[in-house]
Amino acid sequence: MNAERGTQKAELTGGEAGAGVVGRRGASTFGVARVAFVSAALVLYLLWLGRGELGWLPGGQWAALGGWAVLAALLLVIWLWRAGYLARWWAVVHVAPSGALLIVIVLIAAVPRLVALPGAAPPPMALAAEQEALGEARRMVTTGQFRPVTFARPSALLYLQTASGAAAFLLGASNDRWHDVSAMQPADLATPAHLLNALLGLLTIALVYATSRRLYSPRAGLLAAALLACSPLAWRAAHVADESTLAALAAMLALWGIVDCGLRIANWWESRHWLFEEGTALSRQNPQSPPARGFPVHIPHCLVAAFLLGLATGIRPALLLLVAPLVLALWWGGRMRVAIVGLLLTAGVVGFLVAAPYALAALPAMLDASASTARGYDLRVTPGTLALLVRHVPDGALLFSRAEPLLALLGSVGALIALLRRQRGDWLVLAALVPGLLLVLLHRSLDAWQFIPYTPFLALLGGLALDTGWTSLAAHPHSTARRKQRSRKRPSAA
Amino acid sequence: MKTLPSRTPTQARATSADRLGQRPAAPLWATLAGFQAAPVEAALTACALAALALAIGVGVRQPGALVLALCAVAGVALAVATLMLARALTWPAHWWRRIVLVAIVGSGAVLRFRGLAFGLPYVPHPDEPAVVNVAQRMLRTGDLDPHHFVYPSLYIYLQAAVYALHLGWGFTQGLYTSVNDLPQTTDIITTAPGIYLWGRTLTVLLGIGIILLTYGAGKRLYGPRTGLIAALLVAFAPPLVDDGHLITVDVPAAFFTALAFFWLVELYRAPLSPDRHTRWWPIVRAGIGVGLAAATKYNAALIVLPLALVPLLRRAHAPWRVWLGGGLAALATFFLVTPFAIPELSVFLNDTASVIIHYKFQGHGRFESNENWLYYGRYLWQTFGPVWPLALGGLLVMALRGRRADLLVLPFPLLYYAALASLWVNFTRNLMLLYPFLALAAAVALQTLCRWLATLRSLLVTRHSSLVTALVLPFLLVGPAVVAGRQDNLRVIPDTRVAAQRWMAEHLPRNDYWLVETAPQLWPRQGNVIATSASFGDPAQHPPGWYPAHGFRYLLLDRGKYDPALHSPDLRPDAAAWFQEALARFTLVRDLPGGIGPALALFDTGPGAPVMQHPSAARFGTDELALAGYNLGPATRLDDLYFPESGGTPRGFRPGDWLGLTLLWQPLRAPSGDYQVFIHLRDARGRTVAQRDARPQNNTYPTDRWPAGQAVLDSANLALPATLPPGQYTVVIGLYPPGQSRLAARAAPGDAPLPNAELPLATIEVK
Repeated sequence: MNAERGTQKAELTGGEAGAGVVGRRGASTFGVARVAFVSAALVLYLLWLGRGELGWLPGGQWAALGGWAVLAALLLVIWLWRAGYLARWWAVVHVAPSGALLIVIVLIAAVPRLVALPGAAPPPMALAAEQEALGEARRMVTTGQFRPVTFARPSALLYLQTASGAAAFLLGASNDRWHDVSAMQPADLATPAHLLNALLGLLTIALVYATSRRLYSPRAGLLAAALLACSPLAWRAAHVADESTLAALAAMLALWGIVDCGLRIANWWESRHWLFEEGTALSRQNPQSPPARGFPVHIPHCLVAAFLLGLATGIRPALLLLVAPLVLALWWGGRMRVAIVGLLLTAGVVGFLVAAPYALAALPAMLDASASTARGYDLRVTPGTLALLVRHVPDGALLFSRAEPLLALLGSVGALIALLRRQRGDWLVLAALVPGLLLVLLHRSLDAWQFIPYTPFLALLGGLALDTGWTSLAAHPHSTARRKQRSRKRPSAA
Repeated sequence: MKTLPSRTPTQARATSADRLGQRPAAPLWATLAGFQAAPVEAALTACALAALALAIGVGVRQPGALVLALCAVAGVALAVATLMLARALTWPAHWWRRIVLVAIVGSGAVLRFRGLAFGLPYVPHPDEPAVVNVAQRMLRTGDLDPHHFVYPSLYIYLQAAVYALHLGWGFTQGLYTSVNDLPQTTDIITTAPGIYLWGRTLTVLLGIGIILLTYGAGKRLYGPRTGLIAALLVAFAPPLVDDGHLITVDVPAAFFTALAFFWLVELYRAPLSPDRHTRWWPIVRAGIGVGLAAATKYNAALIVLPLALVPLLRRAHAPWRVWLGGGLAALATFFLVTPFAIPELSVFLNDTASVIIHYKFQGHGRFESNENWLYYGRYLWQTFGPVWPLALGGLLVMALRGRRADLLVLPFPLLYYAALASLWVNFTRNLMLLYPFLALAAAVALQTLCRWLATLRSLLVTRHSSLVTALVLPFLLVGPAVVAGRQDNLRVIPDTRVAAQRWMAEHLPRNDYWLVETAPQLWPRQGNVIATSASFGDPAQHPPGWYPAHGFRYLLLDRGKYDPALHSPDLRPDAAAWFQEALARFTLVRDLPGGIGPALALFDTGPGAPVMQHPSAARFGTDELALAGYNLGPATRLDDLYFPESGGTPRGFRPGDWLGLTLLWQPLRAPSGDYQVFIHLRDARGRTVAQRDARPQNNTYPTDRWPAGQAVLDSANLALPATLPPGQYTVVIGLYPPGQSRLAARAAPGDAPLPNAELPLATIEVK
């Protein structure tokens, strides 16, 4: 205990971290950098003083000042780098390599999502939905009345768009633009709503990484995140202020909660048999995990999973199908008490009401909207439904392959691998994906847009496929990685 | 090969003694002087304690910047001496730290509590009513919606809670009879100064809390000595002391920012779980701190930046737990304590946008600049003195040495200063949030500097960095302490209007009327005082000779209005001539130079009795009250006093006009009841077409408070109905105790009682 405290204390003070890095190397370069800095500063300052005589310089005085600032910042950064301060700071602010790579992936993914965002126009088919949502959000911003007029759009999306509109109003407040919120028009809310969707998309990428890392490995997580970052459907969804991106995030969030809950259940129930970590059943000896006695520690995580499932259902009712992986995860834990089932149901209802707080108060309107949505699907128990499903399977596969060729291919391979290796974590993903896809295929008119909420699941499986391939290649006797590994083990001649 | 310098035997002994836990060696200067350490240091501590007590005691009675500076220096000396004594004796160090901390907090509390009632009942700071009025309205109406969000709601609710306590206390003391006794507005003056006193006390307590929180954060990050130095610097920071006397959101925002930072430090220090996750409660607590800070003042929300950094600095797994948990806790707390921001979203957004536009685009008179980074720097130099450059040095030291704890401190002050400097408006009170961080940085720099100085043994006689710190600290503190003391001294001087009121109430008889150019609320329950601002108008409307003729014995005039006219007669020639004539004709009884409040001049117009337009000998009750006379004529509003220039019948009135009726009452003995005065307007058929029932002087001066013999001038104006048909109308008056029969009225002493116990005054014509 004392040793642990001592370690943490040393960690907290951090006083000795990187001590001595700033040494002779810094001292030797310091003089050069200082001379360069002072000279440049002097020259630019003289230029700055020459008021009105800088006609030869594009931009005049301000350009001179800006140049001075850029040069000063550059020299400062160079000096800090050469003197070792940047390395020292980097050592202090710890970021894991996979985390850093994830940041890079997210930044790269942000580029296509954010470029041309202000002028982005939604596709014609999504125009009506966008205008309806933005009109509602504008009404909420200007009146403070949060009861939705329509439930055709998820309430959570409207609230988020209201929040983004409020933030946009505050950021854009000025004398000559607007100083009263009633001056905002629905069109003014379009760009913030698109930006919101783009950010939700980036968040989904991070969540895919976290889930895949938990299920498989950090590398699989990075590959899955990269796959989703390259998804053309996701790029397009970032430029439409509808609920697709939010539904994808909610679905991924629910799956993350279910995976967390499922793996904890597996660890808790079978701790004396095997430990489930990163998708692999470890040995029977699990020194970290306590014996499965007393309070089942996974119950709070199950409640969180149920809450997130309710939240996702409140955003898109079709995501209720994610109950399949949750039931599967709970089944691993054995027989459950009725009270715990009741708690899970309560958590789910709470999650649903958080996403749609007026669902009970405006139940008829809510039911009407749900019925209207359900009419788009053929849900009858008749041979005709089966025929529609059979007919839509190739159509849907073709449609999705055209829209997302990489994700379709790698996702299919990943699903195949998951089916073949039959690990519990894989079952959770498959149980989340398959019922959802089947429901999409039961829609009377297929559209690639309907697949968006399930693209993160496919990215997970695609990441698994790539990771498996990578591992197989690395394990090959002629692979470069293996050669490197062997050469590292070989003792040097010296 | 380089050899290490060998240690002297003394050093070796001291080191081994330290290792064995024995008493450390005495300071070098004490050893050289041949004294034993403990007695010398104990005597020094006692002297410092005595000096502190003496300085505080003298400073409270006889304000003086020098005395307060001495007080500060004595406090520092006490702190240092006790530290030295702690080293010299083998007592536990934490006891001495507590004593020093108590001394620091005590000094800070003295500075903050001193002059707490400044200005009252006047409200000199324009921002105080913005909080007080809303909190009072909440209590009066029970409507907890502030209906304006220029400030977030937390401090308004805290103030409302304090006022509720004050009201409860006031009910037991007889100060208030109901919640409706609270004034509607306190923009210039308040009729409930106790509310301000209690509200300011809350600010003071929060200001003292900043000292403790700074100590706590400094101690946890850098050790107790740094914490104590930082607390000392915060205790004497002049802006914190100055605004610590006000019911504004700035010091509370500094407190809640310091609280959020303290909880962030606790989060940073909280042990990780075995799987290297940050535990939930410290996360949620830090988020609550951030939410509370943002709910006190919007710009304090920048304290969220260190919260985002903490998981990276701790190398904790799953940093999103901190970001998500802390962020949600902050948001939930903000909306929990500013709950009406959601249902009143449009008002919230419009008010917040108005603040943004004000700061970024509109500007604020002379409080605006394009070079605010320089402006704020200059201000900090003027108020914080050498502590400011020391703090800058501390920030540089922190940036360069790059410890994790430093990275927790650095972001907020840098970002906050940059954000403030980028705005167009430069209100220095917004810097309030920075002082705890600057004090921490200055303490770090001072510690570094003193450790370095202590190594220069050739220059100094000691190698104890604590002694070097003790030598340097007074030089640092004397500037801020003098500024803070000077401001405190200004605050203990009463407002000239209050001083005049006290002097007049104590020295002047009340048988005559006093015309005062101050707010009427300053003269509660003093019926012989007529305030120009409430019912009279400009004194120059009547020639100076008019005043003694109408019973105005004393005139308290605002020289600030007349002196400029005297110096430049072209500006207001009438006022200049009037005031010159007043100066020549009246006796100047007292001249109060301006300072806190305007310059005032008190004139005695000479003895005389009021001359009313219509003298009367009417009596009411059993020779209880006499109506000495009345004026009847046009008025402009309810509380307007009507004094005609000369006698005669009033002109005709029109429907909708104000009927000005000024009554001069003369209580023959102290009235036994609280009587209402009724004024009825009767038409030719005897029907009442308009009426008014109220206590004298618009319900502010009940008859049961009238002393015998004191004349009371009562404005009893009556609104004529807009639909009143033309014709002749009779004005009748009378008195009655509420719920009982009227007092008998007689036209003259000894006459028979008048029918219906009412006195017909005059007949007016409505055209």
